[in-house]
Amino acid sequence: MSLEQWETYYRSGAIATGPEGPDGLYDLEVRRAWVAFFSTLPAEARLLDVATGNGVVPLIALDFARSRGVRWTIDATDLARIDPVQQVPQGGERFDGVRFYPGVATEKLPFNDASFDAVTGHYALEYSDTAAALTQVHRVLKPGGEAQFILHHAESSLLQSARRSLDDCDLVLKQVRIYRRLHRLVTMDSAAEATLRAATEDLAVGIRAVRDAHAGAEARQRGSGRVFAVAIDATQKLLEARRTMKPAMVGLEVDRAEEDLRASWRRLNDLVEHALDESGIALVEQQAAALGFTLIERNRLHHAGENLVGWQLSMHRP
Amino acid sequence: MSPGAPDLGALMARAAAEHRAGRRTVALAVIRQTLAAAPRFGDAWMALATVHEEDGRYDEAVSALETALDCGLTRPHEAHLQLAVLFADHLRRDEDACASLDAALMLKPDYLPALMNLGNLHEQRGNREAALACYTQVLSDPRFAEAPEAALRSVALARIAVMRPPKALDDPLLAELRAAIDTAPADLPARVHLQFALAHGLDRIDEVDAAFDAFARGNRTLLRQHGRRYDPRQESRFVDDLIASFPPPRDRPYSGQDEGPSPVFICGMFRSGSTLLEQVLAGHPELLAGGEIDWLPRLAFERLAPFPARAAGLSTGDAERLAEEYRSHVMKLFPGATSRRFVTDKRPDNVFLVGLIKRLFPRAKIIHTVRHPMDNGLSIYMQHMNLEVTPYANALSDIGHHFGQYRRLMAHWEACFADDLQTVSYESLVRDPRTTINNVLGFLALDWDERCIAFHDRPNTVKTASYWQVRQPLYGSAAGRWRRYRHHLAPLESALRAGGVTLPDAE
Repeated sequence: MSLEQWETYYRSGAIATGPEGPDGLYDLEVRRAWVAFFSTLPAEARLLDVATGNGVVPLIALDFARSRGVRWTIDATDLARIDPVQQVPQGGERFDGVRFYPGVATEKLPFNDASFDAVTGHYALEYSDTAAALTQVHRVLKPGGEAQFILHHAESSLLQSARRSLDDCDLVLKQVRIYRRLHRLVTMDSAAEATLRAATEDLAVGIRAVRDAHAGAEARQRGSGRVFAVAIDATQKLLEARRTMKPAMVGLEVDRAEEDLRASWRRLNDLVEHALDESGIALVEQQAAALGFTLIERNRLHHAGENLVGWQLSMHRP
Repeated sequence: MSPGAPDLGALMARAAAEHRAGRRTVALAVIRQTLAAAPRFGDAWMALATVHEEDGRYDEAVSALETALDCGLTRPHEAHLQLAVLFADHLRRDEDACASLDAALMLKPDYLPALMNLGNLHEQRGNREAALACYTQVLSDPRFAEAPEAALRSVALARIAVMRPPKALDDPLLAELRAAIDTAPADLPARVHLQFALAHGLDRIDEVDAAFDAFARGNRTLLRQHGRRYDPRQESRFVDDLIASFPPPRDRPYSGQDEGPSPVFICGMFRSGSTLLEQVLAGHPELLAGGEIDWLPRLAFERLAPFPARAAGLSTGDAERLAEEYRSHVMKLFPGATSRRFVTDKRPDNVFLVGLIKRLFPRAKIIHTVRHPMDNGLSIYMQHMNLEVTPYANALSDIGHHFGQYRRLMAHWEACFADDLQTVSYESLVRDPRTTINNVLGFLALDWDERCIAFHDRPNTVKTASYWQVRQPLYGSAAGRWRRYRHHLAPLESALRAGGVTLPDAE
């Protein structure tokens, strides 16, 4: 799995990768699932959050610990080169008490055996080799410790939306290739009139194709077709940029915009590839049981009452 | 609204906000201000009743609710339910509680909480068939499936499962419970009820490993519902403070005779047989079983807070005045007690109040129920307890720790009050009831009475978790149950040993 698209995403400072509340953290039932888990921990606890991204789960844990007047030691790992302290607004203050370990795979945790009272992961475990990752989770948990993971569900609202967005990316990047058409036009420095006209017409055809697709998506479901909206918006802005920037520089900006969309496409692709259906989660449960975890329990987790957002998986190290 | 008239809605909203924020005195003042402006405003009377109830002023709460109903209010069925809870839980007026629940259901036939409370009250009174009828109606009546409180239907299923346990592993009830657990992932209270019901069902058919797994899941959900509340270090410090605050008395108490019945305090670990023993004693004509009276814990943890520091400095005059208040409270609860020699006050957590009890009632008799620590610990773990009352109950290691502290404290009380403290073993009561009961009666200077032995068919109300056990003839199967579960109980055993608790036959 390539990490670049994730590192790009986390550099934006976004915290949650799912339904979020006004504070940028997960909200409603998703937050309650974490709060209920954290509420079981003793006043002095050490926590590990794996594949932490920009530290959304540690932030929920810290909020909860502060409300209880306790201070936990929190470690957080991610295979990507994350730096939430720098990248999240007010990160230095918000993550006080959390130690981040970028470039760390869940399959190779750099901690001693029986170090943690709890291990967590939100949209995390499914991106790893689950058997190897659970072996490590079991190793670093203290006897009596608990782990909770929220994993992508193959039929969740997020996945359904991701599949639609992948189709949309495919249309923009591969079928219409709008950024290539745009690139050809904006990098023409001293082309003949006819060539310029042909390139302009070619781009107009592309824009129409994307607009039509957007209208079709909107007609099917209001608010969908975000990929198309982004592509059209970027195209218009980059065309305007020609007035103030040299063609080569605009060309670079077009490449960058295209790469941003490709990164999103790869993230969505990762998500679709790693989301778990019924048999996938059952396999993870079997792996956990084989390692000696007990009280393995999984539930479908919903948000705002009806939107399926994932599997909630709990396990206990006896 | 006429110009200058107070906005009653705004006042009530403010009272509710103050109440939610825990500022009961301010809330009370706002409610009184509302009632001064609108003396016939039923909703304000109901709000007043809630504050009174929280403050333990139950008679005033009842009176406020009755006025609310007389004035008329938005949701009268809720006022009837609140009345029923007051009557049943605090005032020992079970008939009135039933009547209030009937009234609530008359006004709103699909009011699920009222029907569930009626089922629960029938259970406490030993009316098994009536209780089952309530719970069955909850499940079968389609109106309840649409009710806002429809989650209570899971509780009804759980109660039916406990009252009519499965007979074999392929009993459809077990599958029904499992399916209900799967469909209630986010409803933690309903899930706990179902998980414990499943666990008890599996225990009844001797599926030990599956039962233990289900109990562990139930306790984990219970912990998620309430959050962790047990702090072993805080518990140890509390016991240290109690021991330091109530040293052995220097003088023996005077030996005069008080007027009216004498209080007898029954205490011990939860699930140690205290309810059973009280039921046994309730058969004696010279003794009235008071059950769980909350006056003393309220005194200790509210009026005498911080406890035990303030209680330790109580003057003799104050102690006598408080003792008199206690007697008046008990006589109000049980007017029929005047003709008895003793009234029991049975609360397991009286263990923490023995020093205070002896300060208020220097000659009071204390009966301490004990049970094999492993059986006792397992029994707590297997019970759906309220973690606000027993914060250690969801984890075997915490149960073991708490047990060690309780035994340390009891050793201190035994050293202080040896002559007035009698220990009664649950195992002896089950194995040799006549001798054991006779010894307890002897401790109270009461003669033997045959009615003590036939406690299981007594028509009274039992408000504790033991309400079905005490309606069976002496219950031998629970003694030594820990052996069947032993391979799951290592955390309990090691915590007990670490607490210095001797474990008979556990080697």
